Amino acid sequence: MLSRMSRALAIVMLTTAPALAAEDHHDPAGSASDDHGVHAHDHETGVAHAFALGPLRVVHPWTRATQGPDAVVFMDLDNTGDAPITLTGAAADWAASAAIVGFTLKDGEGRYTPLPSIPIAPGHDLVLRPDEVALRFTGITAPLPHGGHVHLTLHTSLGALEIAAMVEAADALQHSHAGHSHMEHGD
Amino acid sequence: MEDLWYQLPPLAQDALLLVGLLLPVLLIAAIVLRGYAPGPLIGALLRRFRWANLVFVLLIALSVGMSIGLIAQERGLRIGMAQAADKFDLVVAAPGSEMTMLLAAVFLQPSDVPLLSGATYTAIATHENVEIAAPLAFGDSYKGSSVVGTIADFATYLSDDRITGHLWTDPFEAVAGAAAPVALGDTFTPAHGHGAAAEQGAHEGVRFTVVGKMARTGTPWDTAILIPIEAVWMVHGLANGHPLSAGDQIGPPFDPDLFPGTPAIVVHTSALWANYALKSEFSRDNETMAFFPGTVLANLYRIMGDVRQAMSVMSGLTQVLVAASVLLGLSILTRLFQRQTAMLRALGAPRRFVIAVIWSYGVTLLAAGTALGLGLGLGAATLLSWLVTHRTDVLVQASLGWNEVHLAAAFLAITSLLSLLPALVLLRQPITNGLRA
Repeated sequence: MLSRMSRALAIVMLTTAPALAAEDHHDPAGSASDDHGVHAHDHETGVAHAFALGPLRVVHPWTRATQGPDAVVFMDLDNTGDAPITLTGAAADWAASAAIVGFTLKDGEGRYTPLPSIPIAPGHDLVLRPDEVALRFTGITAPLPHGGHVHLTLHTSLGALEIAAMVEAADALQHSHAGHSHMEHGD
Repeated sequence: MEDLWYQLPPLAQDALLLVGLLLPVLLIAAIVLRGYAPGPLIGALLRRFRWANLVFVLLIALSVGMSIGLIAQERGLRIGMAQAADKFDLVVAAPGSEMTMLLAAVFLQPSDVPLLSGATYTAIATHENVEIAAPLAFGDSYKGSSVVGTIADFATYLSDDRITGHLWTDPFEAVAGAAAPVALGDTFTPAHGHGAAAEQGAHEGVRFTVVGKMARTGTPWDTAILIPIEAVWMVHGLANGHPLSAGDQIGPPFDPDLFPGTPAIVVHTSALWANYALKSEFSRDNETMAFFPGTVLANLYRIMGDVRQAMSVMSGLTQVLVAASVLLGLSILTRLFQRQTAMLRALGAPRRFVIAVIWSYGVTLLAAGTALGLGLGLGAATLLSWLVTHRTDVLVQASLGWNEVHLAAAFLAITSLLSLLPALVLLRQPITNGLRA
């Protein structure tokens, strides 16, 4: 506690500028209602949380509320087809760049290392989850507030897929709907 | 401004934080000491009341050292555990508890778990991008050390090819860890099971010869004795994984139909991305479970992080109490030389000079105590680490990090601010009272 307080004290001492109010940020996302391949909507917010591109299903994309320059996005990618699908990357207009990253534990500290691409074997799913594998967006133009959603594009060997990710709490470990299936909404 | 802060490299952030924490002390020093040189007077005070000063410094050192020792030790343990899991990129086992398998595979605390089939092993071992697929067979022990059946490549991988002697060429040869209770050339008969429940005579007539000794790795595997997995199967009356036509072949490839099973497979891939593809493929309901030991440990650290936060709250509260005691102690110390300061004032010394003397004296004691506390903390953490290393075989090394330095600097900054109070209190008292004291 002391070190946190002292850290805050030190930052204040170093930066005599007043704290920047984050109230007037713009919502980096828009509405997700016009996405193609939308399968299921949140009953309260109307935001989709299951998407598909051919045999590729994307369920429960989510990220964490953040004020920092980076955000990590997680989701379930399910290959329901009979040929491998490769996840090659992602992009979003609210971040400068995006990469697939894998978690490694070095010297007791976890860190994400960029990965080239990941193949998903037919009939298998790739789960992007904290401390394993994720999509990292860097150079975010505005804070991501809890309860909102962000648009992003997944790049795969099948082409691009527009999805919307829920912004969960800053310390969330999973999508708030995780555990309830959206497979029955399939196309 | 916040963006700028985030863009700085961690080292610059840490260094700036330290400067920021010490800035109040430097500012007060600049204001109070400007134009004065109270050095000789402070030196005299330090010598005159040397025993009281020494006790005061030691008390501060103890309190700072305890907080710092705890933080340094916790980090050392975290790093040691992570390093123990470093060689275990991905572990495949039968569905169950990841923590149970982590304890078994990484920390050699095996428990009864279902076995993986030969077909599963072959699918993993022949998968492109898999460099090593090492089956692990636990269950036997010798003088408290785990005797683990595996393949020769795993011994090479685990020790980074630092093996004195050679790898096994016969099913009844063994390669021992650096801290295992056997030397090169020794022969031994493993007991069935572990600890007090181990059956000593279960493998009567079976003798293994130690032909290689691995260099120290700083992990619990240093105490293990590795033997060919074929020997484990044979000793337990099972097939040895190879058809008769294979002759005396040791190691992969195994015949899936003659593979008796393995509780865990340690997988090392040629590239990081391949781990995630493999995990996706070998996470099969009711068949196999694939997990990253690093992720399980990170989850564990998260829980430990909550404990750490509770500890920091307690440590914070303790520091507040210590700061209050410091204030009290300084007031008592300044009373000791009340007469001297009253004399100074009677001689016409400016009030700021008197404050400069008392404040610098207090800060000198605080700074000495804090510096000594840092050393004491490192010493305590080193001792604790040595004990943990000897008890768990996880190499734990204590060192001072930025966190500890920041904590010490914050303590010094707050107590230095508080040190102004006794000086101000002393100045409020009439000079005549002081002269009579």
